[in-house]
Amino acid sequence: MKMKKMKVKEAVSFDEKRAGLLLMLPAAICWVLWFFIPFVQSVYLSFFDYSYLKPDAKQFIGLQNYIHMFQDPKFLLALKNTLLFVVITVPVMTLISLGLAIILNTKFRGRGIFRTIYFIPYTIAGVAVATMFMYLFVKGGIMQSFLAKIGFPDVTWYANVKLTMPFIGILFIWQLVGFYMIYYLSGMQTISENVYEASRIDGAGKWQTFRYVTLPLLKPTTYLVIVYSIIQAFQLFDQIAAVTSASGGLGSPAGATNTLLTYFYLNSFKYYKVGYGCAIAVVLFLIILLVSLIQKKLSGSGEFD
Amino acid sequence: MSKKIWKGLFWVLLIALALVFLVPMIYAVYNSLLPLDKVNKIVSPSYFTFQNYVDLFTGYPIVTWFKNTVIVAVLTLVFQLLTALTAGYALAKLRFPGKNFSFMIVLITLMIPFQVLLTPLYIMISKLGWNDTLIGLIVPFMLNMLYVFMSRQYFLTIPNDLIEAARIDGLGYLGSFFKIVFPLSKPIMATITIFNFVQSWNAYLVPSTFVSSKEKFTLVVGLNTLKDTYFNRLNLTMAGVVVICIPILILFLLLQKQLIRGIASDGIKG
Repeated sequence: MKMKKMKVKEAVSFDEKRAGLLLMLPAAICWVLWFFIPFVQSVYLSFFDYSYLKPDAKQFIGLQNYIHMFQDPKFLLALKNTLLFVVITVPVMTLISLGLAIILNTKFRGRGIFRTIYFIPYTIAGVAVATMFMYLFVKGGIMQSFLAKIGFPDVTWYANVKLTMPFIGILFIWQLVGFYMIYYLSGMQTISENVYEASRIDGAGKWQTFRYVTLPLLKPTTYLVIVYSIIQAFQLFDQIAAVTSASGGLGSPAGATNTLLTYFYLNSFKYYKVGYGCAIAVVLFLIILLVSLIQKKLSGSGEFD
Repeated sequence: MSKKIWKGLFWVLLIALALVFLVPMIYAVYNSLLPLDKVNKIVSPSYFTFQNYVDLFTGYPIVTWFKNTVIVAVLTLVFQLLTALTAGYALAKLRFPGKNFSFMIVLITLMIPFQVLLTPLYIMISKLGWNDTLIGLIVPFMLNMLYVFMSRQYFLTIPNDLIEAARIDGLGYLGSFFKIVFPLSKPIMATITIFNFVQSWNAYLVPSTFVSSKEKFTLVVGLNTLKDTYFNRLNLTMAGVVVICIPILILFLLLQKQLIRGIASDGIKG
């Protein structure tokens, strides 16, 4: 009897196994073909001197690409630009999105409309956002003229070595704060009313409640927002491409807009230094991996259960 | 009294912030309706004209670009839904060899920036003769691990009893997936749909790299060339911006609840 029961169970689980494997198959095939193989190839190519123009002259050079990178002033500038961009935009974006969420977390009529308005920029193409902002910040444009009156230099922002990255930062933040606001809003909605009740009974004021109750409880959300926005800042490309394509191409003016990603792109698709480009991509990957791992560590395990 | 003042200030702040987000968009729509000698000026609506839109549609293959964008967006969506729902379901509800390993791969893949793959993908596409074709924009992008992950999280919330009952009724594991689970997947499908559309509609990096001839452009790539060629024709470029934004805006307004819920659950459950 016992034997029979086990046999039945085994027969069923064969069906289940088969179904499971069959349902995994489409994703697995795509993953191997369009993810695993290219990824391995990217790492592999990063050890070679390789150009599309001379595919036969492929030559193994070990870690030479990686060593060269840290002696390449253009790469170092791109790294500096990327890190500066991340270090400045991410905290600003996190603070503004938290602020927007606080405002929209109060109950009032028409809240949904404002949430929609704050969120809409996220749905617009990066290229379209860049295009709109270029007209606002070109010399004589509405924003540019206004800012020139209050003391900013009277120049086209995106053609100026000092102002072009701040310009891209502004449109990046404008486009994404609404998106991160949603994370904070949903984080706030998971805080139970009882917690606020308790802090009210303890005689805490509004600011104290926020500082000592809401903010600590939003810690997981904050980690998430910071990590996602760091990754997004590292991967910024479309906006830079759109802003620079009319003038000198990626990196213009004078390398001021070069980031790890645009410098990778320039090497891979403009200079045809494919191996070097791949090495830069691998470094970008390692940085992003590190950020993700730190986040997992900080936010604790069990996040994915 | 002071409460009223606070309330007033609150509304001033709300509206000021709304204007920060709306003004660039209003600016785009407004200028797209003006003749060139009136742009950047405040003029009476009697000057409004659709001439820029007419110029745009007659002077550029906008309709072709639009068609290309829709083809790429719809086909990648169909395939991404298929791969995400099947794998997501298997990972959430079925036991099979290599399950934990597969899930680990999903999590690791999520951490790898797509750009790392760009060069090898480009080489593969060229070898297959797919560069400068729409196929090259679709086939390599039939799987998005984020959607696999989101589908798994969604299916975990569906009670086992329901699926079990259907299976015992003779549908089997695959049958119950297609007949019972699929129809229950509408919310996650809507979420993936809007995520995917926003992404593929607005994509620039891949289409601008893999495609070079004008008749294969997507709208965003087309707009960028338009902007570079006619930067001094603000009104025409802005008409292009508006044309790109309207379809995705409509879709967003229709499905925004799903999108916002999708982001929210992604954030909370991780």
